[in-house]
Amino acid sequence: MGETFRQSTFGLWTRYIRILALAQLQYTGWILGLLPSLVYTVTDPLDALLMFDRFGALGDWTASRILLVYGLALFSFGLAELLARGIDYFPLLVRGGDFDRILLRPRPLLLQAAALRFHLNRLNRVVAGGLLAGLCLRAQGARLTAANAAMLVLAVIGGALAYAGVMLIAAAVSFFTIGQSELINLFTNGSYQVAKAPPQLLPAWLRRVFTFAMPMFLFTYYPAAAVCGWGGSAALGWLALPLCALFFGAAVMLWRFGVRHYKSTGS
Amino acid sequence: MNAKMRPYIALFRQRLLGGLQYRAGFWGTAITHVVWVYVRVAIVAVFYRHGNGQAGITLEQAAAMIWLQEMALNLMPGFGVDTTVWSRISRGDVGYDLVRPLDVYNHWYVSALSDKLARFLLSIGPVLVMALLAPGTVRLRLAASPLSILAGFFTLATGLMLSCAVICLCYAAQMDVNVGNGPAGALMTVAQILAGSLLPLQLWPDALQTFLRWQPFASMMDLPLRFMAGAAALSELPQVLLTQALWGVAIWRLGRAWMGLNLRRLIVQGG
Amino acid sequence: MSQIVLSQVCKTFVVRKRQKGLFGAMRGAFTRDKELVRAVRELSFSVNEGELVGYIGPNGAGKSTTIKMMSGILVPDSGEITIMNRVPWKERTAHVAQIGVVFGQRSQLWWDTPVNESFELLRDIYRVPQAGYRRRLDDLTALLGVEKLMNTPVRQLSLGQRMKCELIGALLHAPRILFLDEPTIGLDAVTKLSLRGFLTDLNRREGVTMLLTTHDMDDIEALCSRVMVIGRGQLLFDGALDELRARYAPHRMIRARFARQCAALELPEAESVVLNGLNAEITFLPARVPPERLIARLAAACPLTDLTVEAPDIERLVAGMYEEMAL
Repeated sequence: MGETFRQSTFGLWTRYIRILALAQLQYTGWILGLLPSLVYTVTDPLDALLMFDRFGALGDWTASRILLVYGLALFSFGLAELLARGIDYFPLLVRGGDFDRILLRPRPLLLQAAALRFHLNRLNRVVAGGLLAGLCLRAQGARLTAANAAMLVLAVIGGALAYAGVMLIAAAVSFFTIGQSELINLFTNGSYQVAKAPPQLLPAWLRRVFTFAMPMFLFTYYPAAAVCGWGGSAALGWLALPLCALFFGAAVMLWRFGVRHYKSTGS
Repeated sequence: MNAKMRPYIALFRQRLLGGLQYRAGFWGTAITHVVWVYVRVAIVAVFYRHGNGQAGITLEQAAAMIWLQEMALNLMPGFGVDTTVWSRISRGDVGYDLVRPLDVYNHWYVSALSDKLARFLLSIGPVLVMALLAPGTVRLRLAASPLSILAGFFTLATGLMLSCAVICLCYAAQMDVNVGNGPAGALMTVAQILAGSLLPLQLWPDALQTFLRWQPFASMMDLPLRFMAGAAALSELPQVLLTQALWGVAIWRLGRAWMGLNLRRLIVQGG
Repeated sequence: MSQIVLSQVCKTFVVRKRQKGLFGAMRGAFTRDKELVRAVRELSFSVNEGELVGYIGPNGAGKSTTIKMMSGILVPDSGEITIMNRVPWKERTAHVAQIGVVFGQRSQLWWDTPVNESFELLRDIYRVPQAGYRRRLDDLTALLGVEKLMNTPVRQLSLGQRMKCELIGALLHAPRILFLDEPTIGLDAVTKLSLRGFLTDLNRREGVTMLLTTHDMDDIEALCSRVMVIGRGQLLFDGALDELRARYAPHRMIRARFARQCAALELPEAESVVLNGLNAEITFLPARVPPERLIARLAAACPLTDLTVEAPDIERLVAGMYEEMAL
């Protein structure tokens, strides 16, 4: 049992790496430059898998479940990062005084922020997350009906909105304090670390933070549970987009408030 | 004072003192570290409590390892001044460093050493306090024997020297046109992981334990921290020191030779 | 006695060209078109101890490459360089300990630390004996007027202040030779003047050999009696400044602005007169007619509100040289 368990745990992971690696090997030069971030991304779920290997499955909670939740979070984060990374750089810009330059351009502020830093490097997480989620869905034997597909698509859009919201909040906070934005890292990178354990088994405070404060479980766990039939109400899976949109809206308001504050006080 | 060492001692002092004064984001960073540990320990605890397996170390020891590793991460390759030298190499500005009558390897080695030490000393205070005061399972429980803790500090210091040799090796790799940024950066990440930054090495599969124990990066962080967490017996001290020494000399030699080669190539091809 | 000797020095760089557009970028992942840039071609010159030489030329002419080779941080493809009886790149540490280099576009000081700490660090790196250091530092800071800045972090200095400190940093170890790569770029007029004064003074007092690259003709005029012009990697001229002027840029231009519309100007001695509303551009040869005479005529013809006399800038001068040499 241990042998097949290990195979199933790491089999998934090695399949995931192999596909990514094969893609990499076809290219040279600048794609090789993506290697460090790729290594980082690929090895990140490793600690969960290693713990799995040692302690066995936690009830029904297998490796493919963990990696599905993780993959969905990673994908959403990558999506948000890809499109909105500019906002993430705002704290740096504010400190550098470049923000004045952006304010003087006539195009809508949010749009400019999004276009600011479109690095191909960011495809990293999107590709990895999507791949991982895809592999896990197949391993789980999920049926991709129209309803299921729709739920997943809406969920990751919600997820992207949620992460973008977190980045906006970070930017907004930077208008008021020159404090470190590392705390925000807890809600971005931290969120998909939390995916490594089943939410029911996590300490209550952690579960609540990532359901209400930064609704990670809403766009990963509940939709995945609904699509793969892990039990629990299927309807919860539809909550992702609307609630994340609300979260995003609140973040935008906070950001606008920060911009107004910045405009009125100067830098 | 040895005249040959004078420039490097001066550089070390300057960066150490300068680094210790760097207070920006002090509390933010400290709190971030603490929360990260809470999250990681919570996840590890879930496995300990609800899983079916055995581990070579107890949950308390694992928690201690995670605390200590979070505090010691600054000493690993890839942080702080490492990034500035890294980008300097990427941009091809190394030539400007050659205008000084300094040995480039020693210059970068000493910079890394002092910078890491400064960061470590600066950040350790509040995190340590919060670690010792944390409630329940999360609390940092150090080894019972003060000798073990001392051994841990000592080997961490020697591990730091190894870590700086590793980062200089990564610089050398980066400067080599056949290797370049990508693989060299990947090497840094791999070094961090094998030093135990992702998960304490003793929680990795049993089949890998021998390999993990003897590979070079374990000596940088994981092995020293085991003494402090009580996850390794004091009797292992000589062995650990030996491992550090052997790997240290090897990596130092390799790094110097490789960097020398690349520098010679660099001044022929242009920065 | 020649302190610096370059003989038939050549340096060629391989530059990988970036492709245009998205398709180009994709293709660029596989292959890159290579282009050979001959930065320096058969360059030969020598400089004696104590000379103050200007080294001018348009962008990309090879000035920085030459400086890097002379500093020992770049090896030529062929040819020889001997500085103070050493080959720079072969004995790098010994060589750089005796020269000072100031890069105008790049700081050599430590960004986050106060100025005096940077100096102390340099003192230790260059192993300057403690005894003379204090006095030398005080002398230099007094001459440049930066005593009050000693405790300021380098990043808080203005460009002019920083340049002065860079200069001091390069001189702490009493180098015999000073290379200055565009030291006055971006500086205000006042700072430029004080830097020029300082360098002339230094050269006179200590006999420090100086090689100065610059885009500013005024720097050359103020500092250098000898000028070397480099263009496309080749030495186009090596001699006295006056000779350069006389041969390649003899023309001057008077720009005048009148108070009111003027009748046609009669200036037969000028090379050309261009009238544009209230402005006039008069090109003339100083050898043929002294500027005062033209100015007097202008003033007599019409009341003036503004008047400048310009010399052609380096770019035009070198372009003129190219034309003459049919390059």
